[in-house]
Amino acid sequence: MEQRSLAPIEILLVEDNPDDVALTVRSFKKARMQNRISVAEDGVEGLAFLRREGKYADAPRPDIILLDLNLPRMNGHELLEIIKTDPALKDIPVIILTTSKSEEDVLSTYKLHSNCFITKPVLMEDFDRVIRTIQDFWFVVVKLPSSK
Amino acid sequence: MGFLRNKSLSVKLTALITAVTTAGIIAGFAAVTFIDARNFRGDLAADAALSARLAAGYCVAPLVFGYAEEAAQALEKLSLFDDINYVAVYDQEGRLFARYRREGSQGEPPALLADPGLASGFRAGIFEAREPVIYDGKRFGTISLAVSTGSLSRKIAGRAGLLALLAALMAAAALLVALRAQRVVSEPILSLADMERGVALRGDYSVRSGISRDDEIGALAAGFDALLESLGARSRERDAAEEALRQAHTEMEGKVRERTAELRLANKELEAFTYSASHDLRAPLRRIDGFSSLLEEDCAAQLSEEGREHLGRIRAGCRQMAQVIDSLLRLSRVMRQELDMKELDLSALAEEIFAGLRETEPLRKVQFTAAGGLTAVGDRVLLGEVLENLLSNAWKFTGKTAAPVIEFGASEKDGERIYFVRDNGKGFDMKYAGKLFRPFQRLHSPAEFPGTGIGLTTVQRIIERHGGRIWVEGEEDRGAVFYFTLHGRENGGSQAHKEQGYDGQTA
Repeated sequence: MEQRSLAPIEILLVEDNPDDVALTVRSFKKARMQNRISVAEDGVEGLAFLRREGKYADAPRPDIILLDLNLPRMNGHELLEIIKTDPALKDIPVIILTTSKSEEDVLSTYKLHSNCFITKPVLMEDFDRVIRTIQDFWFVVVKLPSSK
Repeated sequence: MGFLRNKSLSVKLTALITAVTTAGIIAGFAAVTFIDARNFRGDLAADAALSARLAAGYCVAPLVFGYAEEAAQALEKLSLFDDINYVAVYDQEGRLFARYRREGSQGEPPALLADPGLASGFRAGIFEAREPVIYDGKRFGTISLAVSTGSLSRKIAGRAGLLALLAALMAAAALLVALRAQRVVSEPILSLADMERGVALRGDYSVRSGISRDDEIGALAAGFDALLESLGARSRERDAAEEALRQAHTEMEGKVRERTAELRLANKELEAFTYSASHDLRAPLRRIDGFSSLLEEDCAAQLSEEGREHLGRIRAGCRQMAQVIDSLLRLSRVMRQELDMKELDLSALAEEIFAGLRETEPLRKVQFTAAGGLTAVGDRVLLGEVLENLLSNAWKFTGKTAAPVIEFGASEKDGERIYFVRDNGKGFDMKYAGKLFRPFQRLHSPAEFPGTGIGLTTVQRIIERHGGRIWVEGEEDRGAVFYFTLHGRENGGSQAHKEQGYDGQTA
């Protein structure tokens, strides 16, 4: 599989649990592709990042968003709805990455136009495989709209 | 009297009385008329004979001496009798000698006496009386006297008419009497019949005939009243029993509804608990395994051999717990998920699943046969899970068998299709068969044959939700056969819920 470009992939991870952040970041580090992960702790922060407000004035536009659902202040559903109704943001792929296995969550997030729904596997080796698959699919197999 | 059969009793009685009376009157009057007619005719004949004898007396001398004029004069005397049409005197040779004929009367004496031997008698329209004229023992001629029978006929007709009128009047009188008389008999019977119809229609057993007489009708009415009395009593008893039953039923229904609601709530809570507990267990377990893995990767150098081994055990524990949690989640979902019933090809499904199993261990040689064309109506995902569980169990428990054979098939018994999954693997002792479907019950050590102990519980719940049964036969070191039936419909679901709930809690 050929490398897409030399510029690192910009990833926005919206996740409140620092442990989960650490594990996700770690998993991405093992990946073959160069990537840069930015973390927002809740929906409000995530939206500020995307809209380059306040301290995020210089934030890069992400190539992909990894979104948890259970978040303080503004939850994943709310943020997803805002992104997918904002003409400037809705073309960014949003991957729901959550511990939830709830059918309701699956259905409701797809209805809000999430691009895919992934339940975080419990075991680290399974999680690594999922992260690898995400990268292979979204950055190698799939052609995304050029973000820069 | 067939036409009367469907008429009411009163009409029958009236018709009968009137008919009998009228027939009697008509027969009587007809007899009277017949006798009268005979008498009239006898009288007429006697009168005519007398007149003829009289004429013979008158005519002896004129005939003997040949004085025809005299004879005619003598005969004139008979004009006193209105009915005489004519009188004729004939000589010995039968020639007309003299005659008398009433003015305007019908008939004419013939010139020659027809058939001298003919006696007196009724002829066409007349009665002819004949009388020989005899003098001194010698016959000198014959008298022929014709009397009109017109008046006789009129007399008879008049008499008959009168009698017919009388008969009609009497028949009418009989009808009136019959109309009154039948009431005595039919009215109480009709009122009984009306009452009985009313009872039948309205089911009102409180009415009574109100008839009190000493005859058969009185007995009938009394019997009827007694019958109504006992029917009423029985009906009241039955109503009371029915009411009691209805009340008990309503009460029972209420209780059942209450219990069902309670049970449903308990099940819901239990499911929610199972679901959220499994879910909430996942996050911390993820951290344990995640950071153990980081520890392994980052600090491998600082750890002793023993430390690394401990970490390996921690991660093995995590793996096992993750499997248990996943199984519990799946079990919980099996119970909650709506069934999507479709016609399925179970044979193809089994082949597909078995192909997947082969991929997990490509080096193992297992003989697998699936009977073709086994279709069923069911939920594809859930029945897929059943076959997956049973086949992977068979796969797992034939892992240490020399020539493993696994078979999926079906047989018919009592019109019911029984599917089976058979293997010649490790098997089990039949005395533990009952424990097999209980959650967390394992017959083998995890080291020997790994597993969560929830798979067969899930299978059983799915089969139950499809209205079927599952059972197992086995022999240690000879293999196991899992049998199941499907009825293609969801029933007994709540029962299965209940069992699952309590089993889950005790686990």
